[in-house]
Amino acid sequence: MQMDELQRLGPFEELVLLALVRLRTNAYGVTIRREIVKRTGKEVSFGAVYTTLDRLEAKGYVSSKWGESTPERGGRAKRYFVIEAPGRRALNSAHDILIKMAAGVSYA
Amino acid sequence: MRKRAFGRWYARQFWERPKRPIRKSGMSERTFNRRLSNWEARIRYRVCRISRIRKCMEDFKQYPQPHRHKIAKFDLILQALYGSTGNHGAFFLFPIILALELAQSCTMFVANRAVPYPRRDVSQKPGNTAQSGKHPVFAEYLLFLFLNRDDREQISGDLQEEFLTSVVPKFGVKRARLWYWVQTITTILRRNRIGRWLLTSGGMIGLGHWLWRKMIELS
Repeated sequence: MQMDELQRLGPFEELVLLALVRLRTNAYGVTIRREIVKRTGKEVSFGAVYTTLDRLEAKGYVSSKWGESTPERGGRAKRYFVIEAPGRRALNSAHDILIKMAAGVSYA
Repeated sequence: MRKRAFGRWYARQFWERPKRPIRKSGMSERTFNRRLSNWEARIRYRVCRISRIRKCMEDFKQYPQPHRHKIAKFDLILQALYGSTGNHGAFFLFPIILALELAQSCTMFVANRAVPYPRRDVSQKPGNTAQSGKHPVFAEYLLFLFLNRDDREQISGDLQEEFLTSVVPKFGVKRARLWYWVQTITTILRRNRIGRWLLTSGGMIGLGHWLWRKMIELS
């Protein structure tokens, strides 16, 4: 089961899930994108973030709900995302495998 | 009658506030009273017309954002036609008014059928904020045109929030507008079904193959 989940988790999906873990309850499009850009230093488009979030939601790794609207958004509502238990499990297994593979290896 | 002269005459007749008649020397009291009552009637009619347009603007605020412009456009044109021409003009403009009424009814029908989203607060719409109107409206329209209903709400809002809170203070309005356009195009390419198909290698290969076949057929 774990291996199956790991196979379905891509590198960008891992980044998005980690951003969700970091942001906890304040995870919506803008904050997720900002977190990824801030931590990785790579420019990411909103389209890429939402495509990945939709994919993760279809897999059952994240859930979403509509939030409040603010003036700077032109009165439009936010869509908050939360990581679910399967998402956490998939992230943990991916992290474990990476640590195991990297153990005792010199990069220099 | 020349076009400009006709325009001036039209504006004088229907849109300018009518001037109060002055009693000139030699004018009979009966004529003056008739002109005065005529002037009062025109003033009343003008006030009524303006209040109708105001009411129409109040009504259209109840509808969701994507449909507001269409409804407002049809309503204002109709009110302007009714108001400016009066009953006699409505007779000549009957086909135009009928077509506009039909179009407006269709728009209202679609607006009423719209799925209720978390309703927008009217006081928070872009026109009421201090920094409003700086993001490219046409880019927003493209997003509205090519994205599905969920994405319209969330991606347009995210882009606008990022534009106002982060990109404009950092790079200025001009560069921020360019950023908005780039984000719009990349988002549409990623989120729209046809855009995704074009982005994928299969789509590009398929397109190239189709073009190659057409070229061979033509030659």
